[in-house]
Amino acid sequence: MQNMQQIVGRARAAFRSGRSRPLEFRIQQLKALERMVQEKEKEILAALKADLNKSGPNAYSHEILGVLRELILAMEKLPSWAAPQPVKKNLLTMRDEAYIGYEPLGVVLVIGAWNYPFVLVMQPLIGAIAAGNAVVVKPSEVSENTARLVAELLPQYLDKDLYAVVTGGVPETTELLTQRFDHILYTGSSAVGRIVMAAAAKHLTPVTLELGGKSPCYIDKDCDLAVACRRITWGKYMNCGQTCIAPDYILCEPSIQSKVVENIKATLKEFYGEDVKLSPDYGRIVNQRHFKRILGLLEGQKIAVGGEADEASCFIAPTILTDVSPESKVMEEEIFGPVLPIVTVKSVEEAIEFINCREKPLALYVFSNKKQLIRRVIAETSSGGVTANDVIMHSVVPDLPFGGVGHSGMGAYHGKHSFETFSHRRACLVKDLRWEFVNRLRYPPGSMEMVRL
Amino acid sequence: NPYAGLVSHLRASWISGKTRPLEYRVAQLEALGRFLDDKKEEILEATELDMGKPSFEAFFSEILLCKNELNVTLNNLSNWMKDEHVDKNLVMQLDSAFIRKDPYGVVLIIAPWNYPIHLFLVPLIGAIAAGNCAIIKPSEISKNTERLIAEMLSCYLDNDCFAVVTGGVPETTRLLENKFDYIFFTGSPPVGRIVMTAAAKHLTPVTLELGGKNPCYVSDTCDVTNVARRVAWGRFFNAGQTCIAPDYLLCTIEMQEKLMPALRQAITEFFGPNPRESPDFGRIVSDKQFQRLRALLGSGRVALGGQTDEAERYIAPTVLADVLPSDPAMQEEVFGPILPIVVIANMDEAIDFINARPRPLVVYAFSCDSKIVNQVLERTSSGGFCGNDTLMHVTLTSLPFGGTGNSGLGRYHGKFTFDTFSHHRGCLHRNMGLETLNTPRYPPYTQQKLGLLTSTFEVKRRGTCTLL
Repeated sequence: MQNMQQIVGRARAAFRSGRSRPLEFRIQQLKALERMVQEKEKEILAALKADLNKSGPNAYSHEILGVLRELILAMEKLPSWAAPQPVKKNLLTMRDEAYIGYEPLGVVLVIGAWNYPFVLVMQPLIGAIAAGNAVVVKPSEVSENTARLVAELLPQYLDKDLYAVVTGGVPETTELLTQRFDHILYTGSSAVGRIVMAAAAKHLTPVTLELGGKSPCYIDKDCDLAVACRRITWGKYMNCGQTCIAPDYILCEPSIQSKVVENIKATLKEFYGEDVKLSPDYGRIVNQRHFKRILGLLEGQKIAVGGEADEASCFIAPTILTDVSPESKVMEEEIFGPVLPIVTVKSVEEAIEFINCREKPLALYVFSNKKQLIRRVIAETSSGGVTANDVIMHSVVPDLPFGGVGHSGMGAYHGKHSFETFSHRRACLVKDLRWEFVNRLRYPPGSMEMVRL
Repeated sequence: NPYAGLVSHLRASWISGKTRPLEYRVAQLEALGRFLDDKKEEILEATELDMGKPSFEAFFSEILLCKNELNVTLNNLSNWMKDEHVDKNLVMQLDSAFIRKDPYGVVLIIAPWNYPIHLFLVPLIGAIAAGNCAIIKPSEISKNTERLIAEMLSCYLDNDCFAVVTGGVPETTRLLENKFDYIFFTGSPPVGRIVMTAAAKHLTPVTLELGGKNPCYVSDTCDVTNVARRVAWGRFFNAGQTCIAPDYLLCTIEMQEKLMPALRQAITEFFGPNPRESPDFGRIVSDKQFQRLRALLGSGRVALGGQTDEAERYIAPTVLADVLPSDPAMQEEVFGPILPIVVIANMDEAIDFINARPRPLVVYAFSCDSKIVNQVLERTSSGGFCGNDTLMHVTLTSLPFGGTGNSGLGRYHGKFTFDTFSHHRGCLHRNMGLETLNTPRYPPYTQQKLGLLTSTFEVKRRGTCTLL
């Protein structure tokens, strides 16, 4: 096992040297990351293919495009993000300097997940570097090819002491979490999120937890079903359903259930061809354990589409379940696979109640031609984020904060929100030593007159 | 679980949606304002009984500052509640992208004893403004104020949505077993750890307003009289029981010598020749705190003050000179009317001294040379910073108030309190039409589609031409 104390100690000493603070240094490191992504594109795509069977253009658009965009945004905006923000003053402070200064926190820990293994360590890393911190990156061991590649590449392009990569599984992560960090950003399950926060509590370390849940998708009968179902199909089955903001299950009225199934079925053919197994664009389940778990959810369910599986290649066909009971196993946990249950509800009120009886999800989706209905669903529910009339897309708007609420997480990042997450906003008031007469109002004695004023 | 019933009652009120309309929030906030106006005398009396808080101080911190926060909130609430629209890229021009401020649900506010009204009321203002229900747990140590809050608050606020829980450590521990949607805690770092650990079980986000030893560097180039006054004011306010008080002084031996008569002068100006008889000087809140503070008097040498009276829990405004880093007064947050002075050779040594210790809630620096003030600011880290004065940075509602590292996480005051108690929800409301624009993202994936996607989604560096 790597010596965690040494690695974190080195990062802390490097941070204390102050070299990560000048904006020029940070931009230089971000430029190096940009070069890394451009020069090693082939290797990154190969690792993603090996880990998740992600095809080239797919992997590029989901994992590399976003990273390049985030890098360019950070390099462009850093001077304005990092500039001290003057604040509104009152009468007593009129002559003074009052502003909010953005300062690095120190040593940040980024723990990645296996489903989008490259972007989920890179995007937080970019924000942490931009904010002037030292960073320890711990990619998921489940996506082992990407983890190995990240461990190889980062030291080739970045300052080796300030930015370190730690590899390993549960024992290594547990050991790492005993060290003191100044912020921890964790992406993964709610169960492990609790463990991370409890470990952070020992050091009073602030955390950003990007967790999960069951993201509901309500389809109103007054909507363009063909378009809605195409968009849902795209978001549900990308990465073989292994997306934290995938629409987990559908809520709709019984009268449109079969039309929904038909439309999704037709779209699946459009996307993946007659034989899904042969499509280079359809992924695989990451490992045997998850394969078995997802297959187990199909027990006792009405399979309207799909259901085929092949253990050897961890293939599960795009599957739709109809008339699913809210009490069934598939409705208990986050599916994280290519299985789409449809639960029928009589009305939007019932859908809202159904959603509110459950833990707050990471994403919430609603499809309708009626603006009022959409406004109502948003207003009467809570979730990390929302996309109406589409899925996934709120996560690509650079200025929207991306994060959960309740069991789906706490804190947010992306773009400027990453910079703020990894910075300390320090209140600064600088006064003059003169003008003492102004202060006499506040000093004792004879202050009872002030009380009566 | 003795509080389960109460929490689920509040949760039912929360689910009913009654705390969400602007009118409801305004009505509750206005009721809080009436509480402060109607019960002003009772508040001054209770805090005087609890810690001999001088009426002027109590009025300033417990009434005036609270009313400021109320007014800032009432003046701005409808704006704060509005959806914040954000920039969109080319393909989303017909869509609506905004940040919605959602309440969390049922929040818990745990307040300490030193500013017992202010430290529950200002967070509560934000919690109500953001549309939440709240349970308030005042400190049992300031028992007269605790009783006042428990008896009176229910006459002003909606009892279905806001409740007060009283008690000590056992009660707070049981309370923390429940699931809350946000916990706001003001108190000591050790208890902060306990609160955060309890919150972790339910994945409850927290704001922790903690403490530490706030260093106060005084450079050799300064107006000694004014420095002494401002430092003495900040140190002896509330008999030193202030989380942002200057905890200890760092200066050269020459400055220590110059400061002493100036400090004596300031103390006499403020409290007269016998501070014990001044109505403007407070008392220590409890016997336990009194004993703890008395033990610190052995650090360094007593240069000013040092008198104590156990029956009254009185400790005179005291300055300790030549204190060593190993002395008792330098091992814990003082939180009393004792100012240790630690002698250092120069500013660099002072900065190293500060940086070798846990990050405090505030760093103070005094100098006529603004370059020195800025150096201390830039080379240290702390919750907040105030140059050439003490305490005042927290009276500006536009500045965030909070700690970093051991001194806390999160921030509040003004809009920051509203933001603390709101979930910022990223929302994208798309158009159902223009489906052809989405084609590049759908399988089958091709390089051509990728090219289209790249050109519509990427951010171009300034100076390169954009593809139409």
